[in-house]
Amino acid sequence: MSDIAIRVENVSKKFATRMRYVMMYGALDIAASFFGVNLKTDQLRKGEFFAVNDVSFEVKKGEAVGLIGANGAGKSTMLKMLNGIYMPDKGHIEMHGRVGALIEVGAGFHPMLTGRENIYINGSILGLKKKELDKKLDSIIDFSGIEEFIDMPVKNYSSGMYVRLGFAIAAHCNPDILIVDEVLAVGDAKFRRKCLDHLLGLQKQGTTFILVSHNMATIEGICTDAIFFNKGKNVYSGNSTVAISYYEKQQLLGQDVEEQAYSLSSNSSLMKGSLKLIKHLPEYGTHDVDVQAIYLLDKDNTPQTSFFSNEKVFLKVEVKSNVDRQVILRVYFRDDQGVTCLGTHKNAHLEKGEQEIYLTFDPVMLTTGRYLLVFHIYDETFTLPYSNGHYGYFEVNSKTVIESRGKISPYCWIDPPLQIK
Amino acid sequence: MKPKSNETSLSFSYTPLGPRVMGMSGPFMNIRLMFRELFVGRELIWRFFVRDFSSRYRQAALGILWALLIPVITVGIFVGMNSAGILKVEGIDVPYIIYALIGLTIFNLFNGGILACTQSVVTAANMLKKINFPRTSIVFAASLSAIIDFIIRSILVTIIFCIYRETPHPTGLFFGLLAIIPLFLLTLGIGFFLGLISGIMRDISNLLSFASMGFMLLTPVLYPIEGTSWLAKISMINPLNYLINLPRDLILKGTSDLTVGYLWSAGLGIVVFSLGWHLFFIAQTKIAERI
Repeated sequence: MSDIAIRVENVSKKFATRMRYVMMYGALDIAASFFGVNLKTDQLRKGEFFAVNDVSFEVKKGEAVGLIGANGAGKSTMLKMLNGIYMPDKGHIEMHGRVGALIEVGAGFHPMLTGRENIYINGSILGLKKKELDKKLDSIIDFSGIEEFIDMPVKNYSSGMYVRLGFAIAAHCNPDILIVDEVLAVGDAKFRRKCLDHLLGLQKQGTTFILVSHNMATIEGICTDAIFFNKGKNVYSGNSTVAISYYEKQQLLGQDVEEQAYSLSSNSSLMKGSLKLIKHLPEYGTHDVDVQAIYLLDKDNTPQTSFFSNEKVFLKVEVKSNVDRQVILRVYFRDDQGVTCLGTHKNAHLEKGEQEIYLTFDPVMLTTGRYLLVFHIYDETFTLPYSNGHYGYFEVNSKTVIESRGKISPYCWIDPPLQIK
Repeated sequence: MKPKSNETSLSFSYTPLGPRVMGMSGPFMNIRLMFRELFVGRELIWRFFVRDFSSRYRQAALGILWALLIPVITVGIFVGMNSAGILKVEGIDVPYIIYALIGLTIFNLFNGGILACTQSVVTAANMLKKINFPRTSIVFAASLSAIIDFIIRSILVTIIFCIYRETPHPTGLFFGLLAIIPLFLLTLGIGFFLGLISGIMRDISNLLSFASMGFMLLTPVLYPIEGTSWLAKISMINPLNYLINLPRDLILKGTSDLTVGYLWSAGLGIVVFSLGWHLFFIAQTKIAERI
């Protein structure tokens, strides 16, 4: 038994742009397939375009792969082909294992029926047997957290409740391969966290993931690998951080991204003792300000990479600017799920030459975890940065601070003091 | 590791020609896949049927009574017309109302069945686009609702039998009901065809209301056709004539002189059903992207 879960080979999918072509080609294709005529499906006919064009990739069992790209890049079409809703027009796809899909939660819901009835219907559509559903009913209702409304017709549900129920059902399908399309973007923060935890739990059990999201934090948090789509082609597939930088660059700069090397350096020109530069976008911004070193200092002014939540932390950045300028400093902390936890903007004035920026976080307030520091120096209009980079990592332990999982503390440091020397 | 069911060992491959179960090959593959889908989807068919049936009358004050009420009203109109003496049709041994209602009930299995099957595909458009499930299930489920309708009407016909103190032919009743099966298969077959086409071109649903009126006029449902009129000639080659009138003759008299035509028509019904199902099965992945 091979360890490949998904194999996609030279897959293309075309669509017609106009309704009359849709009808014409639809009738033609169906007639052809019925009479066993093999039409040349790999050629474009008049009024057609490739939504997915010659895409190949493989996913091993237990891997989590993100599909990213701008709207209309072909991600959702790819997902639907992986799910077997569309057939490819060229190439072929192999899926090894039971496939579960969350293309749109609650797609099979009947508005007139109650939540409970819809659990059974939707569960059956997703391939669960009645016996399984009977067993899982309580657990599904419990997961959805809408127990009191379960006997209400779903047409009266709020969109959040709709999604909760839909996700709860899909979450109980135990697939080997799970295809998820942007469903984590809905629901309140607490439920999103619950879904994310559930997905991570499945991942630990060895479920293979294909995830589409515009939320790079989700991709970074769950996926080890990612595929960047642009205009129906996979431009890059591999390390998710690199794929995300393709996407970010495309989004931020509005450029067409072709093959392009990205600096993903751990060895940069930063001083010894400084936090390491994890990633930065060399083509984004002007780079007129050079960050020479970046430290997190404890109360004794010693650089550290481990802190307590209630500890006072100083951020010290050594920068070199080529002219006098008014800038906005943008600082935030990201946890290892890619979630931005705390951050701030500060107006500052930089002089020509070298100087040190000090920001005081008293206390740092982050909960237990591993964090990245994201530090940008923007121009005063907050459009293009003079400098950008992700630095890290450092750890925080909560020590005596009581924290609850999944919740960001309601307290945030307000306007941390800034000093420039 | 989590427990795995037997189905997980399956691998699928998706090709331009359609989905394939990997490791499955040999002759009649499509046919085996069709029956496999029917078997795997049996619970889903039932769910869809229950869903449609229970949601149809959900936001109505009379609720499920509507399922009875509409046929009751139809029958009531006939009873009224009958007692007013409007309906005088020659050449029938039983009270006309019984003759007409049996005909209508059987015809409605055909007419209502086709309507339900055709609409089912378009109604499920959103689901077809978003979820991969045995799509033939929605058409099978729609045909079940036509059967339920048929059963409800049959109960009313039984009541009318009692009221008029008539009895159906005892063995003829049994064989007559069996003889309705080819009509049902024909209905399902046409339903598959039209459901598929209306998925791509919505013209079908507009056409259908006219078509049902036309079928009604061309088929001797409410009156026997005799002589050499053009209508009688059409009836000679109209399979609906045989598929509806032979069961009715059997139920009322126990015999029928339409046997030869019936056998041909029954064969046609089976062929149309097989072709319709097969076509729908092959083309189902092509509807999702065009519906």
